[in-house]
Order: sequence, then C-alpha cells, then structure tokens
Amino acid sequence: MVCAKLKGFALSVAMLGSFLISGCSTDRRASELYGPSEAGVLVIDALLLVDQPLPDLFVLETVAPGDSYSLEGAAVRDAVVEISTGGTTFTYAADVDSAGRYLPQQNHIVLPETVYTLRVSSQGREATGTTLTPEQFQIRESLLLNEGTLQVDRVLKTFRDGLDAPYVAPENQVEYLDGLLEARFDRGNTPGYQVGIISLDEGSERVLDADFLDEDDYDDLERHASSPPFEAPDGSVRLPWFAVYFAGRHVIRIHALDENWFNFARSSPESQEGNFGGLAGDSFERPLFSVTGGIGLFGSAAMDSIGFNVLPRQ
Amino acid sequence: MWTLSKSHLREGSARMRCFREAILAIAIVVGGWVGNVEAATVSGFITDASNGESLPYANVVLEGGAVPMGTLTNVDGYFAVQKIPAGRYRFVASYIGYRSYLDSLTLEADEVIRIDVELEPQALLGAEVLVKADAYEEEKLIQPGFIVMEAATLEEFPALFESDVLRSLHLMPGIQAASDISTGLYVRGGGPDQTLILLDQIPLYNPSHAFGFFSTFNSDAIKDMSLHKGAYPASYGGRLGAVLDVRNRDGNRKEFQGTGGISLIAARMTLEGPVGKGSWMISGRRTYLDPILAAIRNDSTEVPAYYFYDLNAKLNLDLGAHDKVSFSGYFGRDDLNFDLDETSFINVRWGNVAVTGKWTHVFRPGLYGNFMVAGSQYESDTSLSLFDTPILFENSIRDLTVKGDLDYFANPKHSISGGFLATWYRFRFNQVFNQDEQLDLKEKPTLLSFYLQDNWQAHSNTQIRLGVRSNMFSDGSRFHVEPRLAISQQLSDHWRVKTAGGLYHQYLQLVTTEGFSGGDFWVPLDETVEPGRSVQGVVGLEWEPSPRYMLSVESYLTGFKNLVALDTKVAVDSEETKSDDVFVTGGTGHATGVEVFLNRRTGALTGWIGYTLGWTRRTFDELNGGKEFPPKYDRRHDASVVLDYRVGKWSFGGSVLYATGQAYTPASARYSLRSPGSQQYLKDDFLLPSQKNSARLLPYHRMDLNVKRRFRLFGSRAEAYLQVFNAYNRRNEWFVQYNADDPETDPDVVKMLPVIPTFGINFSF
Repeated sequence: MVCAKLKGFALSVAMLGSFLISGCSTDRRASELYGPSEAGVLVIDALLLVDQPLPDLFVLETVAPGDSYSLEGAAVRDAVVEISTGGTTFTYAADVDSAGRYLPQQNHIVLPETVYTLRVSSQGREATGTTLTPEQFQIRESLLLNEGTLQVDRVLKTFRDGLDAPYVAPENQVEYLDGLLEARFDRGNTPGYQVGIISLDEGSERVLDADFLDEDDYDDLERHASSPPFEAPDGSVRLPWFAVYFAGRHVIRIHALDENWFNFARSSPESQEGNFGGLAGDSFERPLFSVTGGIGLFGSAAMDSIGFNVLPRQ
Repeated sequence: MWTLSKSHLREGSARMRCFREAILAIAIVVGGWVGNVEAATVSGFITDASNGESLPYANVVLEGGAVPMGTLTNVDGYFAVQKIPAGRYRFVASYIGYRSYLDSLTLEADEVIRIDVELEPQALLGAEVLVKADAYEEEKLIQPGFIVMEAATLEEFPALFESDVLRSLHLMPGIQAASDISTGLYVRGGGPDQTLILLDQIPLYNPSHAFGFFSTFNSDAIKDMSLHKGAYPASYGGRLGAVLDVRNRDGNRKEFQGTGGISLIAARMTLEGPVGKGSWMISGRRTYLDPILAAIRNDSTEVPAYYFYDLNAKLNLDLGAHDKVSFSGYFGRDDLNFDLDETSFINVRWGNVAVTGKWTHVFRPGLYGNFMVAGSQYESDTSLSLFDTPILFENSIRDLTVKGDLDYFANPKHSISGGFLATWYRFRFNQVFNQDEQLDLKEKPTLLSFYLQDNWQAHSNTQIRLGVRSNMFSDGSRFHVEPRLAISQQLSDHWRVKTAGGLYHQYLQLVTTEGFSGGDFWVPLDETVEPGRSVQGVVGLEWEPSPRYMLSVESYLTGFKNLVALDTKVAVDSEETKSDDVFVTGGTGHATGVEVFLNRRTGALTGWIGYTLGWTRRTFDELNGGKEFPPKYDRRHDASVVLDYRVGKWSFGGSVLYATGQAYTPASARYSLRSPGSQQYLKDDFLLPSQKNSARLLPYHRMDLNVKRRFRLFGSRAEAYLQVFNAYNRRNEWFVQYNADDPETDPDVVKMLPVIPTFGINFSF
C-alpha cells in the first residue's frame, strides 16, 4: 500500500512536470522583446555655446528598434531649420557632405541670458524647442593637487597663457595616475555643469591597463567622453583618472548648463548604460527631452576649457 | 538642518509628557478593572514538557460551571481566567499535538490559584497520521491572511542549498519573489519595503546574505514565524503592507542538546540547554566559500573573497513565579573583497547587530506585561577604487527602542492588550568621490507609538478585535491615528467568514537595487513629503470539513497614497537631501486580488495548492508621463503546489510554482545624439524606452524536488537530503538587456538559475 501511494505521488509529480516541461522553452524572437515601434520621429541635436558662433546642428529620425542603425540611414536631409531670437531668424541649410548636418547661413554670436527658439519641419513633421542661455562662465584656475594631502602641488597654465601653453608648459606635463587634477571657478546661477574630456592626439598610446579588461573592452574606448552632470556647489571639479585612457594632449571642457541641457544630462541614456535592462527597469526611462513634436536636445551652455599633456606612467 | 534645535527639545518634552500620561491612563483603566475582582482567578504558564518552550495560544478551559469558562494563552504561553464563581471545576489544558492536562479544582470566592502546566508532546497515533502542533490558533481564527510556520515545517520544503524562511514564504499564495536569487518579499502587490520584518520584536533592515540569496534567519534558531499578509492588528505598525514576525527559540530548559548541518555552502551549529531556572541557546552559521574561492584564486584567475556569518544567542532566566528576564542578540555580516588589479578594487560589507533585554512580569493574575529595551544597528559600506580613483558609500541605521506590552485577561469575553513603542533613530548616509565628500546626510528622528486593542468574544460564534494605534514621528511632526478592525464569524461547524481592515502609515523608505541587496539603505521621510499611507481591507471565507483539510478564499483591496520612488535623475553631487529632492513623490496606487488556498494538513501526504489572481498599479506625475503603470512585480496569476510525503524513514517533497511574467519596459526605437560634454557621437546609438513596464517576460515556472532519509549517526539522529532546484531546468527570464554596441545586435534575455542539485546532512544530539 505504501508503494502504491508512493507510485501515485511520483506519477502525479511526473505528469505535472511533463505538462510544464512541454511548454518550457524560453527562446524568443527579438521582435517579441520590443515595444510598438516609434520609428520616424524627428531627433533634434542642437547645442548653443555662449560667446561662440551659431553651431552646426543635426536632424535625424528614429529607427525601429529591431532595424540596423547608422547615422547615414537615420539622417533627415530635407528639413527646414530656423533659430530665432529677439525677432531675428537665422536659417540653416543641409550640408551636402554630411547627411543630417545643417549649417547656419548667417553669422551670429550666441548671447548670454537670451531666449532662442528652434523650429524644424520635415515631411509634415514639426519639432520645436526653446532655450534660455546661461550667463558667461570662466575657469579661474587649473591645479594639480597632492592626492595624499590635497594641497596644491602645481598651478597649471591655461589657454589665457596661450593657445599651446596648456600642452607644452612644463607644469602641464602630468604623469598618469599622479596627483589630482582640479579646476576651480566661480559658481554662477546655473543648475549644473558637465565636463567633456577629449584626447587630441589620434594614435597616442593607451595608458589605461587593467587586468579585468580584455581587447574588446580596449577597442571600445573612445577618445572623448562626457561626465554625468554635477552641481559643483563649491565651485570646483576634480578629474577622475578613470576618465583618461590615452597619453598625449587632452582638453577638458567645463560647461555651465541651461535647464534643457542639465535635464537631459541627468536623465540621458549614457547614464543608464551598465544598468540592467529589466532588472533595473525602474531606471530604463525616457530622458528629459527638450523638444516638442520630436525627441532630442535643444540646449545651451557657457563653456571654458583647460588642457594638459598626459605622460605614460614611468 | 539636522541639528537638535530648541524647538525640537520643546517638542520632545511635550511628547515625553504625552507618553507618561498615556502610560498612566492605561494603568488606571486596567488597574480599575483589576481592583474589581470578586471571584476566583486561575492563571499560569503552559509549556512544552520536553524542552520548556512556551506554548502560545494553548487552550485552557474550566468545565463544571453553569457555562464553561476558558481562554487561550498569550504568545508567551501565559493565561488567566478571572471572575470564576466559587465551586468545583475540571481544569483542562490542551494543545494540538500534545497530551491534554486535566486536574480537579475547588475554588473559593476571591481565591487566586497559580497553575503552571507542562504538556507532553503527543506520540504518533499511527504510521500514516502525523498531527502537528497548530500554533497561533487564536490569531488564525480571527485574522484573515495570517500564516504561521514552525521551524520544523521550514525543513520540509525543497530549498536552494539550505532551508530559508523567506524563500519558504514564496511558496504561499499572495507572496512572490523578484527573482531566483532574491529573498525579498512581495506581499499582495506591495514592495519589499512595505513588509515589516521582526526578529524577536526587533526590526531587521536588510535581512539578507549573499546579495539576497539567503535571508539572515537561521532555521535552527527559529521557533516559529508568523506573517500577517495584510490588515495587521494594532500591536504592529510602521509599514504599509505586511508584518513578518520571527521568533527565536528560548532554549531547552530540560536538557542539553545540539543540532547542526552541513550544506554545500555553509555549516551551522545550535547548542542549547538549561541554566539555573532558565535556558540558553546559541546558534551560529558560516559559509566556507572563502577557502574554496582562495583555492581557486591564482595569478591568472581572479575571484573575489567572500564570506558571511550569523550568530543568534539567547539567555532566559526565571527570577520567580512572576518575573522572567531574557537577553538575546543577533550578529550577522557579509564581506566581499575583489581586487581587480593594482589600482582597482571593490569592497562591500554589510550586516546587522541587534541586542535585546526583556523583562516579563505578572502584575496580577489577569495582568501580564512585557517590557523591552533593544538596540540595533545596520551598516552597509561600499568602497571602490577605479584606477586610483576612490569612491565610498557608507550608510548606517542605529536605533534604540523601549517597548512595553500589557495583556489583560479581563473576563472570558474580553482580552485587552495595549502598549507603547519609543524608538530613537540615527540614520547616516555618506558619499565620497575622488576624496571629495559629496554628501553627508545625518538624521535623528524619533517615533512614539501607542496602541490599544480588545479581543472581544461578542458571541459564542463571533469574535471581534477592535484596535487603535497612534504614531508620532518627529520628522515633520507627524501625528496619526490608525484604526484597526477584525471580525470573525463562525457560520457553522465547518464554515467561517473573516474580515479585517485598517489604516497604515510608513515613515521610513527603503532605497534598494534589486540586483544587489548589499547596497540597500533606509531613509526617514522628512517634513517635505507626506508619509506613505495605505487603507487595507480583506474578506475571507474558510471551510474546514475535517482536521485534515482546509479551504480558504480571500479577497483583498489596498489603496496607497503618498508613495515615493527614488529619483534617479539627481545630480551625482547634489547637496539637496530633503525627501522631495531625493524622491519622486506623491505617488498613488492600489492592489487587489483573490487568493485560494487548499491545505491538506495531516496524513502521510500533506501540502497545499494555492492560487492568486491579482492586480497592482502605481501612478506618479513625474513617471511614465503621469500615466498609471504596473510595477514590475505585478503578476496576474500566481500558483503553487507543495507536497510532502512521508513513509518510514523517508520523506519526499516537491513544489511547483507558476507566475505570470514580470513587467518590463521595452524599447520602441533606436536613435542617436551626440554626447553633449564632448559634442561628438558615440560609437553606440541609444534605445528609446516605450511605456513604462508595458511588456511582459515569459511566465515563470519551476519545479523543486527533495528527498530525505533519517538515520542514526554515531548514536545521534541525522538526516541526509538531496534537493534539486529547478528540476526540469527551465531557464526563466530575469531581465531583457538591450545592447546598442552593434547596430545588428538583438536584445539579450538574461536568464535565472538553472537546475541546481544540492545535498547535505542535518544532525541533532
């Protein structure tokens, strides 16, 4: 009787298991993992810098999530693009040599604390945006600190000392991982800052060397990067060494951001990289775009930069 | 912002006055009742004769009067029957699974008798019938959504490496897990932060080891655990959803004994025994992964160093017929160290420490009190160095609690309980990047709570529990009154209907990353946001045609208000630390569903079938464009079948779980933007998220199996087990990973655990 009951139990489990196993494949087609397509939406990429000429801007469109993506394929070539301020309108024309790029047709230096409006239209689609440019911004000093004592070891040359001074001055020759690079400025009335770091010497040797990185990781390294946005309440920013990958000349651009740029930077997809997709699904959210009728960024900033030359570690 | 100002001191003095006045009021009301004794009183403790452990909710009846009089013991095994007319009675103390105790009593008017009873565990009635002690019977009769599990029951479930309290609960209807490696509890549509988890009445803030793989509860140290899935009574508070109350063993008062076990990843040992007029217990567990990892580690193979341990200790002493004291402690820690290379490492440490001193006093036969002082500390430290760039996150919660509970057995119709809770918190969160301190948050709020409730036997078939709880929280000077109600009506011998409801508030918020629980931290909500609020209602119908079977159907509805979610769009060095800066606030939501539970409780084959049909939704103005969305743990269907079959020295167990796939946010397009800081395009394009959590993973299901055999090992009882987790190796989906590295790349689905067989041995002496 015990054996019979045991057999009954085992049979029940086996039947239930068979039923479940029969439908247990978890392979999925890629198309099953996407949402409804939002292809064909205008993507606006326009960044104004105070005290600099009207910039080139880019008009692209979204592509279905399962489709292959390229800048060429996503470029919008027939857009009508205008930027207006104070009753004056500046027109743009498509760059015939670079799909999706639009060039200003008039000269204008971007003014601080001024409202600019963007309008883009293409094939019945219209996207608009507005930005209030920030006040002017200047880096007061560029320093190398002792990482143990946090005292100033050296004062680096800036571009005010000459266009090449930051790259050739002896005090600007910085050995990789040696000291802490810090820029100090007067914190203005801006919601936040963002730093861009660019390695200027194409082909310079790689200084980043870690046991836990492989060749694929090194191939992915780019010669430019952006920091996450930060508030810099004390008017200073330190450059972490993990943002430096190559030897040679580097320029650090510090941007004092408008609301649009700050909102996008703090919600941008760059900040979501490295997160789990669905596991941290709470953080897979739409960035804070500043474009109506499309997506993208129409923002402005005031910018200043410093430079230095990275020497390989001895 | 965080200093103690004079206004705080004035508020504190006012609260202390209020606190003293409330205690005095309770004492006067209760004392007035006590002073009116005109008839006899019988009181005492009911304990297990084999080990001296108290027996909660044992039945005590005095037969022979015009009307039988009786009561149930409280959670400490104490009972009191008052206002007994003089006469001859038969005293019966009974508890399922124990031999009943009978005695004859002749009571005079105003006579007070103390009877401490030791009940003998019942021997097996036959090979095919196993009767288990049914603890917390009273609570189950009146409270819907109430689950109790004894430690022995935990051992019966198929498990992953070791028996685990929280994993076992995932097998019950209405309770879900986020993933195979998570012990977080998602109860009736609520998140893990909405469940209060207590160990011997002390909250544990992150009760997990191994990044969520195991809970910090050592099943050998546990006496029992109870879970209110919702609408919990006034004696608890501070969470919007559920309460898990885990109680450790007191220790064997009769003889020295030990239990232990070895699994694939950890070893554990529990020792206990009598001391004077009391008992002691010490239980420890530690993983031995670290020497295994060290053996694997070499110059070409980097593996992290990791270990965890936990230690429970308890000492109980009887100071006399009316006084007991007990001291208990919990100490647990996880430590991970990973040296990536010369300039980079990761070090993560987290753990809980909790110590308690409790005094139990019988003021008068019908008035019983527990008073406790407890301190706990949770710390989580994460320090990284990436190419010589140091990054540090530290957070800690320390609290000091003074708590008192009084049980008054007024008469056979009314059992009144009341109490207070005062907790002083110290929260700290510190963040340092590249030797620049970016955030140093310190908060020191206090919480003061009072409660009063009456268990009223309104009619022979009707029980009503009416309660009220009041909370005062210093941050924001919050004061809330929370009514609670539970009604149970016996419709016939086999049918019972129950309903319960209440208002709940939550003042602390958990910030958690599901993939890594070591970084979880709690923060108090300050004056800039309203505390979370829920209104809960539960209705249930039970059918018990026999002691063997029970069928229950319950429906629940919860409305949430003032929910918060971490704002992930805050700048990395933001000094804005007010709650409305750190969190997205003003969220609302609801959870509703129906649970069906069929339980076979006795016999060689025991187990249950559970099914839940449920919905849960959230709405935040700043998320998903203000549209309602399901949280990821919204599972439409959730079913479980759990079976255990015993024959001779063998036992066979199996469980099958099924649940609707979790929600996730799919991508709806690809696009590209320049990196604004460098104003250059990156190699990768971006994925555009669609509506929040608008897609579903595949349904989750798995089967676990276990087989055990009892035998003798060097004269001691032992049990060997083999367990298979995910027996048919279904690779359930965990999350979807979109990689934009390659324009041609398809999305990946990261899967959960494969089939994992484990084995081990348990022993006792």
